[in-house]
Amino acid sequence: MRSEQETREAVRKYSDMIRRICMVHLKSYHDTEDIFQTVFLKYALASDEFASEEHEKAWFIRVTINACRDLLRNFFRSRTVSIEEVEELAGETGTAEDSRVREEVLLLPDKYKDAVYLHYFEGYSAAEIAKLLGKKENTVYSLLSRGRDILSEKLGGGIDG
Amino acid sequence: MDNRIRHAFDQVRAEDTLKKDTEKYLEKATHGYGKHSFFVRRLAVSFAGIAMAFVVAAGSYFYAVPAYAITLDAESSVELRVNRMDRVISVKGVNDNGRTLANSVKVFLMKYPDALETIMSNADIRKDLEEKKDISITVVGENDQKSEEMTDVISSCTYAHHPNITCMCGNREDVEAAQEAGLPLGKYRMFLEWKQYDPAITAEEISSMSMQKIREKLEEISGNKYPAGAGMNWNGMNGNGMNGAGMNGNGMNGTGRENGKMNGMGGSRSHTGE
Repeated sequence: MRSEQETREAVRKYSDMIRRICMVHLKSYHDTEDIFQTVFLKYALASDEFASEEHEKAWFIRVTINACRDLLRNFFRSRTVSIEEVEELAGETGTAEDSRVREEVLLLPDKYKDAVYLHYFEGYSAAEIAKLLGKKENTVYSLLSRGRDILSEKLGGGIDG
Repeated sequence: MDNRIRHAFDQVRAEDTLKKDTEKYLEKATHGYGKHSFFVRRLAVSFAGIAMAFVVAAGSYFYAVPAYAITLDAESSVELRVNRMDRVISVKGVNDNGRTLANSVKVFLMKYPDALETIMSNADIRKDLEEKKDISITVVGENDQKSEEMTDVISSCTYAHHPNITCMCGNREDVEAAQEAGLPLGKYRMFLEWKQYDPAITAEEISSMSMQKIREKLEEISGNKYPAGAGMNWNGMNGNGMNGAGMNGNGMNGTGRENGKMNGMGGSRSHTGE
């Protein structure tokens, strides 16, 4: 088990990232709370040593995405989300343009969301995303390409690859 | 577009409430990060209980269980039970006078040399010594070496330097045999010695005689010298019945002790005094 200090440091360091991943996948703040608890408890109880900070960050991303998927697999949870709910989930922080961009990312089909978020926000390459998500690199390229097309269409303007 | 996405998501931050609630949850879920986990606490409580029971049991064993018996044979005969910490845990009289003596002295939990000193300062015992009556002090216990050490300690005490006091380190077999014969151990040994020269002598005859008288008679029939106590420890007798061969020239050499094997408590014995 990790120390309280180590765990608190991880909460401080990775909360924002986990919050964004949760936003991309989940439909309620309550679910986000569940994911936070699940991910950080797993971290606190794990004794894995990380080779580097990047390794640790990748661990949090993988565990968070998996936890979100597990939560969404729950039979009783709604699999669809309305536009109004998306607006609410995307929040109003930042400019109106920021909110609109977030809404469009959230409205992407699930299979594109992770790749788009990890590439455009976290800055991971297709090869790195392939490793993180356990997909083939070419598949990730396809997901990114398709996601980019959809967002360009919705938001207008070019998207850098 | 990548900048637009980056900027849009950069605005998203985990709420302080979310972080604090998560930390609270973790504190609870990990039972204070293992500091006070139920398992650890239960284990600690169990160990504390076992340790406590062990300490109590060990304490009881060392304090309440007698390991040695010191028998003082005189007109008033008493037996002190001594624990492994050299403390007297009980005193009882082995004859009527002894019972009166045992009830009048307060020696509970005293170190055995102090307890004996208290008993020796009793008026009845002092009267016996003034009248030159013999007194024998016998140590019997579970450990040979320790019994011998105790005999040495008693022999070195001032009260044991009286010429009519004899200190002995006994063994279970001798004590039981003496008990069966109805004699104090010291007298029983003299009886066995006498019997070698005069098989007709009986324990009853011996029991009514003083040690001084027995010594004189024994010297008369054997030609050997049997000096009186003078704080001396008996030696030269093997532990399993005296056959004479174990005696040195004078029967006693004044410095040693009997080397008899001891197999536990000497047990009390009935004794009618000298």
